Parts: sequence; C-alpha cells; structure tokens
Amino acid sequence: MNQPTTPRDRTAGLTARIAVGSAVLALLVGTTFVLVLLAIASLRDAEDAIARSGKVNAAANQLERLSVDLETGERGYVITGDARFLQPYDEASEQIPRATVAFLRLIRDPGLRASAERIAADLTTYRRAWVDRVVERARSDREAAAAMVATGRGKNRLDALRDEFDDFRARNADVAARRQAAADDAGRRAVLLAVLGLAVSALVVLLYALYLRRTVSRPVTTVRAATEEMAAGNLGVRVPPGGVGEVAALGRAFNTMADSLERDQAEIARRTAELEAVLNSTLDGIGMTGADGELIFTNAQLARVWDELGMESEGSIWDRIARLAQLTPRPEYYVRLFAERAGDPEFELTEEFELPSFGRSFIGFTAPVRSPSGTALGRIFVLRETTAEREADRLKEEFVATVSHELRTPLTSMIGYLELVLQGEVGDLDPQQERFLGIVQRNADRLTTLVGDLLFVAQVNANALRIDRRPVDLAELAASAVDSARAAAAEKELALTLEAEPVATEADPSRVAQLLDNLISNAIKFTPYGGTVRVGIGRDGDNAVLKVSDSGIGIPVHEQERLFQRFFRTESARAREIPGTGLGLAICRAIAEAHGGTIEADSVEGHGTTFRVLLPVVVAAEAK
Amino acid sequence: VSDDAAPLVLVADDDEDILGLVSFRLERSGYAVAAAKDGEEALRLARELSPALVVLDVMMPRLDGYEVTRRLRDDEATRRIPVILLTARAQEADVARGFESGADDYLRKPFSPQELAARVQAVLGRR
Repeated sequence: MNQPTTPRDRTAGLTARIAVGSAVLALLVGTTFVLVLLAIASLRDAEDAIARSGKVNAAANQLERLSVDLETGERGYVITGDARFLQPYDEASEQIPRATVAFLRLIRDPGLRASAERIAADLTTYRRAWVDRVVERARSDREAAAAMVATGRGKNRLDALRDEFDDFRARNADVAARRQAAADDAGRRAVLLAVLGLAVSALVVLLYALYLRRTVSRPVTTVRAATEEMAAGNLGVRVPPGGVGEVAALGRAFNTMADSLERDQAEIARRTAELEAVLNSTLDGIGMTGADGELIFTNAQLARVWDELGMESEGSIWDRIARLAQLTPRPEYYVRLFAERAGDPEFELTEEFELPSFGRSFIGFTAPVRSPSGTALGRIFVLRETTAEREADRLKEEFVATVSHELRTPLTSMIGYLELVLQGEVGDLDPQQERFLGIVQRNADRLTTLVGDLLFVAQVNANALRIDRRPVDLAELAASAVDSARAAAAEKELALTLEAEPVATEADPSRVAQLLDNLISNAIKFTPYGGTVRVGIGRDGDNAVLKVSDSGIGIPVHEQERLFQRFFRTESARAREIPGTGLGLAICRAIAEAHGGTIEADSVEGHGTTFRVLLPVVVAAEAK
Repeated sequence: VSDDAAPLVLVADDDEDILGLVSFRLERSGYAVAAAKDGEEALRLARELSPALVVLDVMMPRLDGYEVTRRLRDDEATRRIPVILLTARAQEADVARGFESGADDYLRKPFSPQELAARVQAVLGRR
C-alpha cells in the first residue's frame, strides 16, 4: 500500500488558525477591558475631584467665616472696650493659620490654587496689617482705634476679601462643573466602550464560530456521515473538498482511504469470484465448513452430485454424509466411524465407496483446513467420482480375462495332446521324435510362463491384482522354492543354500512363492558356474525379510534404478543372451507392494547382487 | 471302451480340442465319458445321465461353469454330483468364486491331462 501523497498545505494549519483567532479575540476583549478600566479610573478621578471641590467650598466658607469673626471681634472690642468681645477674634486668629494650610492643601486645580493663595495672602495681610493693629491700638487707645475703624478701610478690606471668596467659590463651582462634565463624559465613554467592545467581541465570536463551522465543523460532519455510509457498505462515497488545513487533509485522506478500500474490495471480489469459478470448474465436488462446523461453501459439482443422488440438502454436513453412507453397502461401518471421529478436529479420511443402487463409485476426502499461520479455518470435504475409473478397471480386468482365456485355451490343447503323445498313449516314439517333441513341450511351457507373466502384469496394470492372505510360514515357502530350484542350480553347479527362521504371517502363499521363485531363478540365471546363491528368511522389527543373494555378475549402478520397470533388461543380460522378458522383477515388486512391502536391490558389479524384500508381518487375531 | 461298471464322467467345454483331450484321457483312465459343448447342454445331460462327476470349463457360452455348478447344487437330483472346474483365468478370486459356487476342485488351464485324471480319481475316491 503506497502512502497517498497530499500536497503540503500552503495555508496555515487548523491549529495555527484557531490560535490566531483566539489571540485576536483575547486581544480585543483585553483591550476593551483595559479601556473600560481606564474610563472607570478617570470617572473615579472626576468624582474625587467633585467631592474635593465640595470640601474646598466648605474650607473656603470656614476661612471666610473666620475672617468675619476676626472683624466681628475687633469691632466689638473697639466699640465696647470689653475684652469679652475679643473672643471670636482670638479664636479666629488661633484657627486661621491651620485652616489656611488645610484649605490650600485641598486645592489641586492650578487655576484655583493661584486664586486661593491670593486669598490666603490677602487674609494674612488683612489680619496682620489691619485687624491685629486695630486691636493693638484699641488696647491702649480705644478712641484712636475707633477712628481707625470709622475710616471704613477695614470694612472695605474685608469686603474685598469676601468678594475674593465669592470669586473663588464661583471658580471652584466652575471647576467642579467642568469636572462633573468630564466625569459624565468618562462614564458615557466607559459604557460606550464596554458596549462597543462587547458588541465587537460578540460579533467576532459569531464570525469566528461561522468561520469554524464552515471550515471545520461542516467538513468534519461530512466526513463523519461519509464514514457511516461507508460502514453501511457504500464504498463509492466520497467527500467534496472543503475545510482548511488538517480538516481538508482529513477529507482528502478519507477519499484516499475510500479509493484504496474500493480498489481492495474490488480486488477481493474479483479473486473470490475467480476462486469460486475455479472451484466450480473442477471435476471434484467440494464443500467447506467454517470453524463452527457450518457449511459455508458448496461448489456446483457437489450440489449437482447431491442432486443426482436425490439427497436432501438439509442438516449439517455430517448429517448429509450419514445419509450418503446409508446408500453404501456398509452403512454401519461409516456410522460407527463418523460417530467416533467426526468430532476430532484432526480427523482426516480418504475413502473410496460404492453406491450400488446408482452404479457409481466415489472417493470421499475430508481434512481440516488451516491458514498458513496454522489457525483452524474449518474443514474441506471432497467428493470425487471414480465410476469411470472403476469401469475402466472392470473393462481392463475383463480384457485380461478374455485374453487369458484366448491364449490359454490353445496352449491347453497343445500341452495336453503333447503330453499324451510323449506318454506314449498313441504309440511309441523313436528317440529323435521324443527329443523334438520334448523341445516343443519345453517351449510350450515357456510360452505358458510368459503368458502368465504378461497377464499378471496386465492385472497389476488394471489394479486387479488381489492378494488372498492366509496364515503362512515364510520359511516353509522359501524351503519349497529352494527345493524346486535345486535342479536348475545343480545344472550350473551352484551352491544353493537356505538360512531361514520361521516367520508366521498372513500373506498370499502362491504370490509369495512366485516372488521367491522369480528371485531365485534370476539369481541362478545370472550367477556363473560354481557360484553361490543364498536365500535368507528372517525378521527385522515388524517386517519379514526375504533375502536372495548371489555371487553373480552384478548390476551396474546406472541400471539399478530401472531394474523393477516392466520389460527392462540389463545390458549384460541381453549381451549374454540370458533368456527373460524383463517382467520377473516388475512382478516381484508388484507382489511386494500388494502386501504393503518393498523390494530393493543392492549390487556390486562383478561381485553379486542381493535382493531384499520387506513384508510387514500381519498376524490375524484368531491366528493366535 | 466303456463297460457298465465304469463311472460316467460328464465333460463340458466349448473348445472341441480340449473336449477331445479330456475325453481321451479319462476314457484311457477307465471312465465312461459324456461330452457337452456348452453350459445348457451340460446341465441337461447332468440331469439326464446322473454322471458320477462333472468336469466343467468356466468360460462357456450361454451358461458359464459357475452358473452350471450353482444350478446343479440347487437341484435335488444333481446336488451330490461332484464338480471339477477348469479355467483359463489365473485369479485367486476366481478360485474362491469356484469353490463358493460349490465346486469340489479347480484346475487351471493349461493343465496336464494326467493331473486331471488324478484329480478326478481323488474326488471320486473321497465319496
């Protein structure tokens, strides 16, 4: 699977966009907040100033009252001469410096300050230069003091001072009014700013939400819907391009994944269809069960055979097989077999059976199916029709029987009449006649043997070779084979020996005798005058061992592997004109194999050959 | 060459040469011989003549040797007549089939006429 290459986004990623958006929003809200705070602070300043201007007014009033007290005390004393009237003067004189300082301290406005300082200076001047001097004079000379007062200069001064106070209060009121206006302004500004900031923030949030909805939420929803649709089976679904950054990439990735899935799905479907087509094209009926034992696949052939056999397609596969077994000649065997083994996951069986009522035969096969990693996937069932093969076998067998009859019938007459003539039943023979007829008889016997061998091979070929097992002692069979070969061995002055221990088994005595005869007569044929032929019978574990060794001409290595082929003759056999058809060893092998055994040759050219036959020892229960 | 005391042997084979050979040999051995050329004739003659023994070729037209043997065994009149089968087949299964059908002995073709005479004598001697 190759990674789809998406073009790198030139625009900023989603995270960056969200960060920028959030930052802008935060900045906006923060700025609004700061501005509102500043407005509130300036409003508070203005309110402080207004409050202070009230205090300034009060301080000014007090100072004015003290100034009037000064004058009141002075005049009262001057007029009456009574010191008691001096009390307001004294008190005011004492308080004025402190009140003045407090008054001045309250004033912040520079315009007011100049005016206040003039008031303070004028008040001091009025007090020192006039009131104090009048009172001083009055202590010594009340008349003079009264004259001073009568000039009205004091009163004028005080009036001027009081005018200054009025003027000051007017200014102060003016300043307070301006402050009030400024405070009102600041308050309105703060409210306006707050409202405006909030409105702008809300607008930004709204726009931002709309932006996110368009670029993130909607595309993601689209992808989600597409994913659900795909999960529901529609692999053709794709999402339109949309969104930014990662969201757009998500959409593209989804489309890429969908493409890939659709391709893979199509590929899987194609392969599955191919596999099914293959399974439906084969000659064998094939069924498969899953891990749970349920039938998950049946090919066309199996369904057809099932139909032809009139079987119901119901129940589990084992039910069906049980019904099939009822059609075989031995249903109980199969019922028992399946009862014992069908539950075994490792159960494997290859079994040929006949359905006589249909005249058909089949090989049934079943085995567990595993994945390459070894997981059990289920079980395969194969039904292969062998009717044609069995029919071919039957025809071959029939042919062998016919040929056998056609060849042996004339041989019977030839050999039989020859025997009658040679036995002198129809008159005496002269020696020449007897010799010639003897030659005819010998060749007729050879022909008989040849016909027998050929028919034997034909039977093997037709799978018609049957062995008829019965209890035998292989040592006895070997002894009689050796006995009947003695004459031939003696002719060539060969030492023919037998070393045998009794081996009781079940085998086809005539076939085993035929095998031994073939091996011994071969050994005699290929061993020069004066050589040795040794026959041995013994056991090797579960096998009976039949051994025939000779000190003959041996077999070259390159010929050894073809030794058991039909009609194969070694070069030396042909060169030496040793008679033979090349069938003997093929027959030996067929007999050994029909008994479940093996045959092998071990030979050193020029030194001799040993044939070793292994036959599994079979002991029938009742033979014990 | 047969006299009244000689046991009658019925021989059936579709091959006239073999029929002649067996007849000659058995007559020489002192038996009276009746010959049949197929299974049906053999069955008919066996019922008519009640021979002491029947020699049957297995592969004969119309009724084969097995079938003739079986029918002889099924018939109370011929049930006890011994049967020797002759066959050109070499299979052990054929031998088994021969004995199953009720034959007393079995000889493979080609056979020695002398051997056949000995078998006939042996089977008759068992009775």
